[in-house]
Amino acid sequence: MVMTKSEKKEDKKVSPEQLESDHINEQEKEKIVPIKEETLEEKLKTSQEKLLTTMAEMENQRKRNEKEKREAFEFGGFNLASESLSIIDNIERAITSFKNDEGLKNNKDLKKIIESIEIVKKDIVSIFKKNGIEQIECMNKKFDPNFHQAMLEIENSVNEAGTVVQEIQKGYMMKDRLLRPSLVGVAKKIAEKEEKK
Amino acid sequence: MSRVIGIDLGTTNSCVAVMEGSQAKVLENAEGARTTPSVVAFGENDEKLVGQSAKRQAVTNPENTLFAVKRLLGRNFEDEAVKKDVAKVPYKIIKADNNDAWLEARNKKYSPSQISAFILQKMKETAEKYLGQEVTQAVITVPAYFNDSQRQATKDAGKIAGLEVLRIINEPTAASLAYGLDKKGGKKIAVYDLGGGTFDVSILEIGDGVFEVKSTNGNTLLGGEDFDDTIVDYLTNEFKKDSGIDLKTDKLALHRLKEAAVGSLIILKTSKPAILPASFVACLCE
Repeated sequence: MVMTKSEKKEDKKVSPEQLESDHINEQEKEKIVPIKEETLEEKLKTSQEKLLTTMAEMENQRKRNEKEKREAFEFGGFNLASESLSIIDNIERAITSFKNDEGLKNNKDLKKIIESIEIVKKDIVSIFKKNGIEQIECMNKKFDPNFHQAMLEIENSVNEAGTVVQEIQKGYMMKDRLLRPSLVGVAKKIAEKEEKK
Repeated sequence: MSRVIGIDLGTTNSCVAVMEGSQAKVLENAEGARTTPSVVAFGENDEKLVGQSAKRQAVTNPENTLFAVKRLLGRNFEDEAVKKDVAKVPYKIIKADNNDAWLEARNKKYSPSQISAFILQKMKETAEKYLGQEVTQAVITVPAYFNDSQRQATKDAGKIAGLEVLRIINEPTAASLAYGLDKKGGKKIAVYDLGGGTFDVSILEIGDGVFEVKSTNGNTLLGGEDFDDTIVDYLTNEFKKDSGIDLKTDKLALHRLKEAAVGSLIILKTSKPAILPASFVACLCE
């Protein structure tokens, strides 16, 4: 509202000046008139540009919101999934622990117990798979920091340096996003070390 | 019209934000994280890694994995702080022709501004991916205690990264602005900034939207990561007392304990006490 009022005032001011300008020579008139008109044009142009920018920005914002909504839906369970990985880890540890337990070695039911636990594990893995969570295969592949985290280097003359030779903890992807990197041991040339020495 | 981004170029982690309406929005990087490790690594085939992936390969490539480079920004090689770093870090800090502290990786020399530029570039890309348009202008924050040469080095980093640095803002000032404290003028406030590797405290006076840093102090070698390590140390010591097993020799156990420690600190923000979810930690030693 304030802007319109001031613009109207300016309009009123312009007309008497234009009348006065009759007394000014043609050259000066030319100088004054275009400047006044340009100011208005400029104002219009600026407003139009602002409007266009705002509209473009609104459209961008809408696209961003849509993308965020999509991602929130797709990756909403990311943290829950990430923390749930420890269930699989611990089931595997439990199985190893049973297998290595000296006291249980001669127990007839050990096989049954382990089989039952493995059924639970399979169930969880299939639920994960349904939700786009899959294990990263890393053994004997070239170490890739986008999927693997190096925990240690292992001197090795069989594998090429930079190859994953030990999987310390399994890694998982959730769709195209890394849920947890594989924790790995990476092969290192023995000769390399000697050369340095 | 291109958007202006705000970057917190941290010693340990960096962060990028844009204004959405009257509020700053912190952007997630491609991996879905709100902060990106301030780490740059150079691989065998001149391959350059920035952020989390650089951190993940550090064990296999310590000499060419550059971190905490902010400590070297705009500093002379003879500075006490630089000398301490030279003795401590696994990468090479060298003396440049103008006596500045530079870095060397894979036989190439880099100024700290160049390395910081790689991090800024990554932050720029994060913002561009989010905004869907090119970003050319930025505001970068620096510690209040940064001198002119350190501020200039930060500006240079921005320029190398292809950003016009509109303003270098003091970190405590940016924090105060984010909390809208400029609108409640005429106050003296204390800003605590507990970062990953540093801890700063600043006293600011705000009047008519003008911020004046009255005093600033802190510890450049103390941060959140030290808290994590202390908790892990405590846990491993207690575990050894109880079970006789030394987890310090087991890298996976340490890794899991650290994750559990970080998790417990996050839980402690909202509830207490926190239970550390690290079951079966002992069977790792078998």
